[in-house]
Amino acid sequence: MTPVSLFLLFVKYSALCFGGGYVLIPLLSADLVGAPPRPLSPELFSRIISVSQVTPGPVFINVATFVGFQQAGFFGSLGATCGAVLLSAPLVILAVKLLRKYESGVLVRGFFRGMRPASFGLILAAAWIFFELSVLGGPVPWFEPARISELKIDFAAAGIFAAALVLLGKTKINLTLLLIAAAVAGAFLCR
Amino acid sequence: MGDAEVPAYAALPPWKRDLALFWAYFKIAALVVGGGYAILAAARREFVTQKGWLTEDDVVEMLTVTQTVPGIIACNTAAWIGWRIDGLRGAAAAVLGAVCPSFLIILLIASGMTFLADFFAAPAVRGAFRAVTAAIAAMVAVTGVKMRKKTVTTGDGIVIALICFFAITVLRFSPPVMIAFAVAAGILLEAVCRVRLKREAKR
Repeated sequence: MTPVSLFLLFVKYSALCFGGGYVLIPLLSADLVGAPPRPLSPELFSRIISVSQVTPGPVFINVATFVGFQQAGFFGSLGATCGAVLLSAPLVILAVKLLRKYESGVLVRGFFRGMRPASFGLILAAAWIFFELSVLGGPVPWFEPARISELKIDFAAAGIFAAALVLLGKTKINLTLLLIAAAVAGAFLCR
Repeated sequence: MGDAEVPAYAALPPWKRDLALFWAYFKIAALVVGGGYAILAAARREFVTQKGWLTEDDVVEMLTVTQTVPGIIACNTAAWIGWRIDGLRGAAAAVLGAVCPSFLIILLIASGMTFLADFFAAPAVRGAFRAVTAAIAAMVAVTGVKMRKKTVTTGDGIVIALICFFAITVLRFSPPVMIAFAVAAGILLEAVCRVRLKREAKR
């Protein structure tokens, strides 16, 4: 694939991703993953996804950069990543303007009436998923839900979770500091 | 945060705001593993708790809007915050900051994959990753709890929030499905309320 086709492909993916990058994996599998005429083998693809999930930053950008590089080197990465972010700002700005314009309409009021509490549920669900991945030892990458029998409590991670909860809830501790401290403690304790 | 109604960043010239936006997002994206919600929670901490540039109300609006618009949550929230603070330039600066660390890190990994793949498989690195994820779980949970009073204000709100939480964590529905459900339920409830109000007004 050329950098330009990678760019267009990731513009398309980002436009199809509602509610975050969760849809990216099935989309990519359908388009690119498979036996040879297809550009990515299943093994390589699963390695790309696991590396993307354990490295910092937005998972979608990690995958775009990785797939782009596999296909067309540096410029492939650049094309895929630019394509992935192109629509973000225009769509967000358009959405905010539309919501302000029809502020008192049934659709906009209804939208907020449903989405405000849903955001609360969704963000706590995200917290639960991170909790499961760390404290309960769920497998990374998380293509599929973990079975209860596979989970076991990591007490060191549970301690770090509790300490972070108190520090973040009660103090203005610097986040960078906290994450570095957690990483160092984890390197020794969470094995 | 001061008592003044003028936001704290108003005194800064635009280029300083852009630089601050870029740097804040660069730092977050370079450190926070786990994607959209983790980055969003870190951004709330940076811009509400530390800098006082945004209020909790802003965060609620940002959350609802950026989750509904298609695209990458991390970039959508960066665009929202950046636009709020310094228009289009601010949005560009924040999105660039959110993208650069990933781009550079993955570029390095992709060009020298074998040794870095070993690095990520090392027990100490996996332990560090697990601990950082635990801290991020706490950070996202704190963000959620701080949002509660602003997001869940009605009885039907409690029901919608509970349905979304359990559908994702227990039944493993995907978030887009729950977002579609919530928007549909909200519009339906609002429409029903209006019809009722009109009827009562007629009497």
